[in-house]
Amino acid sequence: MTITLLRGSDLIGRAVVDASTGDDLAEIKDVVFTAGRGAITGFTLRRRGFFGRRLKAVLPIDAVLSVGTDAVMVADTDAISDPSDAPEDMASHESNDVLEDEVVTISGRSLGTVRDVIILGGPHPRVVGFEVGGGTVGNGLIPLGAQAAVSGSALVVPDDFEQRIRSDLTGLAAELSLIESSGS
Amino acid sequence: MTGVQILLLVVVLLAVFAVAAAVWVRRRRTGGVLIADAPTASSTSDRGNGR
Repeated sequence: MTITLLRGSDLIGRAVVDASTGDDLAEIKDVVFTAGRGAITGFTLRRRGFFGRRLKAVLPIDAVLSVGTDAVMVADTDAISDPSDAPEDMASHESNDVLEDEVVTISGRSLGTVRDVIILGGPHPRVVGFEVGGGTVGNGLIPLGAQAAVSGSALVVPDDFEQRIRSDLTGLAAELSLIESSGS
Repeated sequence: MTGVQILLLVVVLLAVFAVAAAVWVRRRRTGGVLIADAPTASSTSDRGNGR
């Protein structure tokens, strides 16, 4: 089985493609996920192109066939729905953006900012970690679950955070396996 | 209207245009990775792996 790891910022602007016709329906604007399990609940959309304007429509994750490296595939145009029809767990606000969140330890020491999130692709995509940089500990990856809390303002990590940070995706995958095996 | 006045007018118009363009670009948010409002905005009690 192929594991596809993606960066959240790479998903932004990615085409939403109708698998039945091959039509390019829209592009991803925001990725919405639950803080607890990291499950991606859906996407907000905008029209394609450099001057693409916000599309008053959303794409719930249940309507997504797969999140791939080059496109988000949907079965047909019915996959895109009106925001008022979207599942409750898709409700969010732009102030809840985790990109550029400050990373602080429980004791209040700033370690840098969230540069990106790491997403496990496929039919049930989910956030599996955070990419941190610009601070005292250098660049690294924190697996989801290693943090104490996350909001639109800050990512709070334990004081022993440096021991959980991983410098590459292989290390992140190994850490995730450990977390999931200990949690199950 | 003298040549200097015309030049001044052009400079002012360009400055206004530049400011308007900068504001437009700033307001045109490119996108982000958002935490869903429900069920948790802060996640300490909702972490799926028990840590």
